[in-house]
Amino acid sequence: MRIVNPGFGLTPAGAEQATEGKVDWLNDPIVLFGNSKPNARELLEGVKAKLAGIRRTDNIEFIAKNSASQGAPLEMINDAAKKYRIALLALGD
Amino acid sequence: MVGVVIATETFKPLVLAQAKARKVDPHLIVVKHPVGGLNAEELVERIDAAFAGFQEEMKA
Amino acid sequence: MSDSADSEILDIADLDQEAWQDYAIEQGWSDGLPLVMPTEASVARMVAAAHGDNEGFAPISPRQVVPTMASLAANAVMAGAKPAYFPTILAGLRGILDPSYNLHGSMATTHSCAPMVMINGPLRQALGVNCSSNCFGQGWRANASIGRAIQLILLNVGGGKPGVMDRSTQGSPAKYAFCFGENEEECPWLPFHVRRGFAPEDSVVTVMSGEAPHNINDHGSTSAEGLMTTFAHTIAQPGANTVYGKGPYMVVVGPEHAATFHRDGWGVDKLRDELWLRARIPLKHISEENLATYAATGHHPTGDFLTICRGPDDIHIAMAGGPGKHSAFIPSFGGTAVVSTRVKLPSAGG
Repeated sequence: MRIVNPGFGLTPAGAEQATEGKVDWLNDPIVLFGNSKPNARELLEGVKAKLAGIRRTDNIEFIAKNSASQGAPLEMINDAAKKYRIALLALGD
Repeated sequence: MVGVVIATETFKPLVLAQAKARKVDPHLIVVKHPVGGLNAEELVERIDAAFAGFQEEMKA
Repeated sequence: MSDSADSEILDIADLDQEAWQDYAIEQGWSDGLPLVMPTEASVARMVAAAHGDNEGFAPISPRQVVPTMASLAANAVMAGAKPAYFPTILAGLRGILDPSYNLHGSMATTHSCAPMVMINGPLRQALGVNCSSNCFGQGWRANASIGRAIQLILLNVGGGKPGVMDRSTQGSPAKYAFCFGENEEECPWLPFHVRRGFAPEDSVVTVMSGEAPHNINDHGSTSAEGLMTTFAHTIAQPGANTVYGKGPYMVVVGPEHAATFHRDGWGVDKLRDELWLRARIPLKHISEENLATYAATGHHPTGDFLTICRGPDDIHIAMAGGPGKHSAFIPSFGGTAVVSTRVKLPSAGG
């Protein structure tokens, strides 16, 4: 017997594999990207404090989207992509 | 740009499924759930785990 | 585009009713209830009911794939919908796929939100949508299967599998189906869709990522002022998502409460203005830790209160239900919008 697949869907055009370049983990600027959930900032700042023992931290900065329930504005993502080479993101609860 | 994601073990399947949908291979650091609702002492363990994971990413 | 999941038609072994249910549940296609088999013929009848609707669909989160009319129709068939319901289901889906609805956030959140679906216009009567007694409850095929079809689409095409991509901490009965019609016939105000700029003869589906209805019981108040006291304090809940994730909410006024408001000269604008001013949470009802968390993310008190929305425009008033002294508050997920979409009726020849 033949049925229609209720999970069938098409991959949108242009959904190509993203690429990432090489980074200098000891010197490249890092953005700590918070999701506005409780303790996200504390977690990321805690990691930054520990990174001070192994790399420079004067170019590690924290930013956060202004709502835990909505995606970060594209402008914020684009600005971060221009300014930093590494992003450390906190997700989930 | 390289993105490293810290997620709790509970949210790992969601992050992986999202990454698959977006055709990205995430640098994922998994810590115990939860992060929210912990006091400063309890959060230390999550910070240590996240830092250890980040160090592994730096070596990879 | 390329196929992302098997093929649109599946050739499976012949199955009796019981075996089909087991098979469908094994595939992860069910909400836990039995499903109608989406045969090619039944799906074709469903698709035909949307004849002339050639507008495409955006990818459905969280799986991010583009549905086909057949895969959407398969879910409508499985939900038990009649073909005549399909254009309404599609309008609801289009609203959910509007970026302002924030489907991705509402699927991945731990909040219990589900797509609230409200129908306005002549199709309510034509399809037999319950707008009166027990309108949020069981017993009406249109309400149940339109709401369920949308949920099954999010599950099967969108990939919102509970516990994996749907991360709700507790979920909600509203995640089975949450569809009702506005009781325009007894509404003392203009119908909801007309107030949003649609023509009275349009049939319109309004969606919001919301919680299941919270009851507002007031048998004693005999004035608009008295009712407002009950409404405002029922709505001002410190556990609402919108305390910090500011967004819209719905108030579905029961007909007897609506009659009292109307008799005292309160229209929709007055209701919204008063709710904005009065449905606020006293700071003493909010923990110090929460206040600190809210402040850290830019959500500061207004005087001695926290608001639960951004202003009167976030407060949406509709009228539904039957006899009785009850109304309902439907809080939203927060980072969402109330989206209304006109139903495209099938063109001739379908």
